[in-house]
Amino acid sequence: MVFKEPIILKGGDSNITIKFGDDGSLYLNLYILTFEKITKSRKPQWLVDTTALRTTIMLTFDPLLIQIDGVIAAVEEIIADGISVPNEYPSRIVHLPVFYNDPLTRECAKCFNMPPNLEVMAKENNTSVDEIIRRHEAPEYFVSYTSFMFGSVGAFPIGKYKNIKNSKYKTPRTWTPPGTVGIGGSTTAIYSMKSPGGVMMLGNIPIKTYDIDAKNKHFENGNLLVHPGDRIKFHCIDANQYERLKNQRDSYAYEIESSHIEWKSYGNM
Amino acid sequence: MAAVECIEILSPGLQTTVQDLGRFGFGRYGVAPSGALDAFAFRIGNLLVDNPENQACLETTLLGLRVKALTDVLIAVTGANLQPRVDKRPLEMWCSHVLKQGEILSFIGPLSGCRSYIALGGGIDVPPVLGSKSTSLPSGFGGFEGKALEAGAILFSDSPHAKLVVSQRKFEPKWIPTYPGKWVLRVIWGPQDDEFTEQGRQTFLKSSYQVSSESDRTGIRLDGPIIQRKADIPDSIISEGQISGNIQVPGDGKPIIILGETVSGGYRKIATVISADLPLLGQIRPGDEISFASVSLGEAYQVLRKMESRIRVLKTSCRLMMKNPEK
Repeated sequence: MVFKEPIILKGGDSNITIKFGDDGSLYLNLYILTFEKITKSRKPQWLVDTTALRTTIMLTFDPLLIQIDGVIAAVEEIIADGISVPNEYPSRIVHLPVFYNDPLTRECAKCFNMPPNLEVMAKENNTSVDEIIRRHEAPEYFVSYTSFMFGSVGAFPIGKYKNIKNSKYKTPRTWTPPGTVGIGGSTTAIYSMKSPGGVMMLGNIPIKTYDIDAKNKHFENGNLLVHPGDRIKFHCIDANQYERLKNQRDSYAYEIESSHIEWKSYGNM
Repeated sequence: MAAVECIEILSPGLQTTVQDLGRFGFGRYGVAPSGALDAFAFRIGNLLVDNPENQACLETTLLGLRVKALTDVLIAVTGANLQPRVDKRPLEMWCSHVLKQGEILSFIGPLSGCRSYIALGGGIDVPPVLGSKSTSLPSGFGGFEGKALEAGAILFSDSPHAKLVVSQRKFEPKWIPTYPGKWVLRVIWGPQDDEFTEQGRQTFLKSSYQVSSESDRTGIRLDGPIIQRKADIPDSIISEGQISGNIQVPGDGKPIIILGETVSGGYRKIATVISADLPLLGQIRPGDEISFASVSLGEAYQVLRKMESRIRVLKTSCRLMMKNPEK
């Protein structure tokens, strides 16, 4: 759902945050990404940066070129001209191997006096660790944002899926291993770098989600693997496959399908 | 353009990084701007050594940096007064000087402010990452090998000898900022000021806060009276973008002023520091006292233009000096 009138919040003299809705739905996400694309295509000289998240987009501008009322007027004009989300929205499918319940993730949980997090979730959902893994691996995930840190992902399941109840760490971890796949509420997150965190950890991805020096040829045309609007399919791998892929980080051939997403077929989600 | 071995880091002090004005345009990919925290002192430093305003410089914190000149190089030190010395002699700040091959520039410790900028004529030759030479400490890229400088690092500069003639260029003394240790930061309410109680807003405006020792390039943490948010609303919000100067109030009610190393966050921001006061944030140090004054948008834009006009005056006088070098 998109609000009839977006809420525009002023952040000082150089910045606005536009809240287009609050349900974090697939349509709302595509709407925000479409708004971002249209805004950038108009190439306003004053635009310094955009940061899109699950329900909002922040626009930072150069206050020496324009004042806040001018930016709001420009935004209102873009909205009045119409934000039409194409029903066939371009959306690649990126396949990612995950070693669920791996020793690195278990070790990290132990450092913060927690049982392996998959065991915690199994209890919370009255089921087995294997069933949680199966539930997590099954659906396709839509990438809502990548603005948590470089190479990171915030994605949510689309289509039919079985919910996984999850709680948060009472005291957040001071570190999380790079490559961690975590789950907080409906969001599945990929931690690209060692960083603090408070959501439950499911497993680890052995391959790169970013490569600044483009050591892996895949990154020669861009340092990032996943972009907002892509979809992700996770694939469960075992210890042997994990070790093999870890050693092939710089030569790994990524599996990515060009595709599009028909948001209307997902209903009002 | 020829890259020349220019300076060697003998000791990096508390923290020294390579910075320019920051990395913009990649917020959607989680890339924070980084960049010189005191962009005003940074830009003046570059102009004094005849560089473009956005050339990479060194940003050093509080004390302990020692560098040796490996060739004659034009330098200017701006920002915090950390008592710069060349060998044993005090060095005049906000003014360009030739540092001769073999001379050692060192910083004894702060008299005022927190971060000094060392501009080198010809800049610092490091590869730009995503369009900027700034060091992103959280991401581990940019600057010199993606991290704070360590002893033994050798920095290159582009044709530094061409700049040596511009020695003794000065910034107008009456415009040199002072860094008092007791700060009144000008703010604009929002984006989420209406989610705090009237009492909470008054607490924010009328209290004096002390800068915690846990402050760093990601944020200035403050100790002082707790700011009350409205009843029945949760600790956090759905994550949204955030920028330098946002004053975030997390669950414990103690404000944090966000600096340039984060892109998004899940806490409410009660107010935002105006653009003209952002450079001051780089000069605030642990133990300082801070209070906030609310101003209008009109006033914010007016003081920003005034600050820019001072930089423009320096730029114009630089161009005049280059046309008449004997003056």
